[in-house]
Amino acid sequence: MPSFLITGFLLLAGLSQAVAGPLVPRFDKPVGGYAPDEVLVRFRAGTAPAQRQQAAGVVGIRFVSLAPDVQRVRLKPGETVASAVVRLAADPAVAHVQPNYRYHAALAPDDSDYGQLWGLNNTGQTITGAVYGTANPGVAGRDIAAEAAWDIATDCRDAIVAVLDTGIDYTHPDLAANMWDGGAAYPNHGWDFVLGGDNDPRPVGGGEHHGTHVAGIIAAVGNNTRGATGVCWQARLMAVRVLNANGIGTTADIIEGIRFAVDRGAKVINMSLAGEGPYDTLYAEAIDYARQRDVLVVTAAGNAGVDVRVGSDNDSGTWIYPCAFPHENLICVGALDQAYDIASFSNFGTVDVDLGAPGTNVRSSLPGRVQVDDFSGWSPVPADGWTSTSCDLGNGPWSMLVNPTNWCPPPGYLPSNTYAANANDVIYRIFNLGNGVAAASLAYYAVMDVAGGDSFATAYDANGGNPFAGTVNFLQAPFAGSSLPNSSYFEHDLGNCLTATCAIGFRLQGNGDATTATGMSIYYLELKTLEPGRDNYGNYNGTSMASPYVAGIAALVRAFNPDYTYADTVEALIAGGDAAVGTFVGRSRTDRTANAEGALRYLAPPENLTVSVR
Amino acid sequence: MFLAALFLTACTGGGTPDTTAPAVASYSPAASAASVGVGTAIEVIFTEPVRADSVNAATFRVETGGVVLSGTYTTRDRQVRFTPLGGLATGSTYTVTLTTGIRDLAGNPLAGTVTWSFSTASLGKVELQWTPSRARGVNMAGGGYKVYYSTTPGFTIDANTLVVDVPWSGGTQTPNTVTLDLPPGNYYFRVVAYSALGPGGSRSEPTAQKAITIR
Repeated sequence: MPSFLITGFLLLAGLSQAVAGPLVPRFDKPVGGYAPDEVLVRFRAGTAPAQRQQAAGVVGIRFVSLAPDVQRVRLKPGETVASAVVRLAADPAVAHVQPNYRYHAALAPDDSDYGQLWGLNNTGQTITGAVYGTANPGVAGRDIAAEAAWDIATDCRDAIVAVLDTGIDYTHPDLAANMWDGGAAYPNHGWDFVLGGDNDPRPVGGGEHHGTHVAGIIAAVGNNTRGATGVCWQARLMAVRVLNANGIGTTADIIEGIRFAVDRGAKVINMSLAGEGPYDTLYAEAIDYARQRDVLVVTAAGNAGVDVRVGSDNDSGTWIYPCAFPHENLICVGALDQAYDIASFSNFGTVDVDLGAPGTNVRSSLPGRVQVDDFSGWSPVPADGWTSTSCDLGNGPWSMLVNPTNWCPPPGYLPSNTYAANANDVIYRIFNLGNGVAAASLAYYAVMDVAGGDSFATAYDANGGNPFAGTVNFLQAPFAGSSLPNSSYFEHDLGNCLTATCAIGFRLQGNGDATTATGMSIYYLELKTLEPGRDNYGNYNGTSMASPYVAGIAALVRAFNPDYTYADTVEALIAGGDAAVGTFVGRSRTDRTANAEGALRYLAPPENLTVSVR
Repeated sequence: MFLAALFLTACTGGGTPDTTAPAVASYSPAASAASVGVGTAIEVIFTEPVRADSVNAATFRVETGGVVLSGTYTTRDRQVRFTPLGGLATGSTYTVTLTTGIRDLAGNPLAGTVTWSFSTASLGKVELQWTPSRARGVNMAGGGYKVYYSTTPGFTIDANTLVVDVPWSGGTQTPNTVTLDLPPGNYYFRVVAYSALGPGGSRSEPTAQKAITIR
């Protein structure tokens, strides 16, 4: 029997590291005190029922038998556990008496992707589908200590969290149960302030994945066997859409969004957005409006890899806002990798950045699919124009479509081969954008060098086949130019191609004149869809991902401590944080990283102590 | 008293002058009271308002072992309160003497000398109070405060530090006050909040120390 137990333990430990295992409650020390009106008694074996009844009857009014000789005794009104324990212990019929301690089961949630959520529980796991190459795997134990925090609280419903972002797919199966109930006035769990506004804050464009991902970090339904786990297992998420399809919002939209959230009871606002610019007075006043109404605002430091007080172009005086606002109710968060070093892209600042939190390879809910194309399955017409290849431009191999076929230069060099003077080369692929796809967008990078008179173009055909045959629906009209030595970013809406046979193609055309131009390479082609209500998840990097970890912790803390002010919450978040490690040291105001358990356990010293003689 | 009031009213109109002598209506601590708290003030209520400038260490004398206490006299209408500087001493007998030097507003002296004695408790009663913690963990089962005290200024808390536990005992708020009976000495206090949250529970940093002297 003992050997069986040991075997079982080892197996479970192995399982929990490999994949999310079954739900295994673990009983720890009593952490919740004891029932105030009950004691547990074990009577001496062989004592008569009458003797037991007499002993227990002195302090108790109700008795439940738990095991042979063991009873739970409900105490008489006015009787305390302490005195009942003393009195019963003195009774000769009683072998043992104790308080009825409260235990919290330490639960690892059963969500299917929980094992990938290193920010909650870093076991040194390798994240699959990584989008950040450094520190994967990272260092076990460098996380927000979510499991220990969940011993104390999992429920954030008493602290509404507003997500000011690109909207939330509130029909996502891992979010729907955790959405704010806005009643008849706000039937879709929030408001959309973009372009005049309406009552439906769902994402609209194919690329609007951001807000849904952020929402899942805060509060993907926990322990529902499905997908991700939020910092909050239960929550009330308010969707406030202030960013459009390109992730851009205006001062007016954001101000209205903040006031909406504050006026409707949000206790925490997450704003995973950052912009370089001058001090925006009205924006600052909106955050102060939140402060006056005791609302905490959590924001991202930004992703330019610079000091928030220098600006992304070292343009003195061009600071990153809202991070650089001075408000006491504003917490600005930098991003950490899986080793808790600062992420390469994360902004920093010893005045404005308050905390670090996980921000690389963060898996969370998505309102659709993200498909990064590997350039297999593309059809070149003719066969010798474009080709699919792997090219190392000096930072590792990338899959690419290139024209000419020998486009690839040696690493560190610019391309030098030229395309055919009379090229009329197309390459296309058919994507399935039917079956419930509500919106889609296409994005890619191109290294481009096309001579004047020649052209590059992008087109689609909803019915499949070569999109440049017959009538052409251009996504990018034919144009010429050079991006060398850099690349250009392209993004197109595919709203007119939502079919099962959406063909997307590129064309390089020459006008017959000999050229020294070096042609095209297309890489990192990403197809994003909106598929509301479906169970999609994906990995993102960003301080946008770090901010919601802290917002989730703030909601846990405020929900658990209903008397806490925003200032109490900020104090708990910072004083309860961990000491920064690695390259995050010296990158923030506090030199601390977010810790959910620490924030929940933190206690401020008593205030206003007075001593007097009587 | 009713008549005196009438005369006073009349005075302002130039009527019959007040010739009634003030008397002592009540006082505390009571005569022969024992175990009086060392923080107690001595209070007398007269039958009519008395002149503040007639109340002093000579006319309202509090003494122990032949030594007259200094302190603050506060006169308000019919009430005079003496708050001894530094409080009373533990385990001592005090005699209070009110002389005819005390006069009413018309200048009439106290009807006669009044004397009584009381004695203090052998321990000083110290009351500590603080703002209730807003942390729920302090205000639930397993939570509370620990009041540490020492006769050493700037003391640090360790396993041997004197401590009084103020645990949660039901309801939504843990008591935020405690009273200690302490022998004479200089005392320093620091308070810590605690909860049962997390393995081994959690504690706040201690407050800055507050000092008090029991004589």
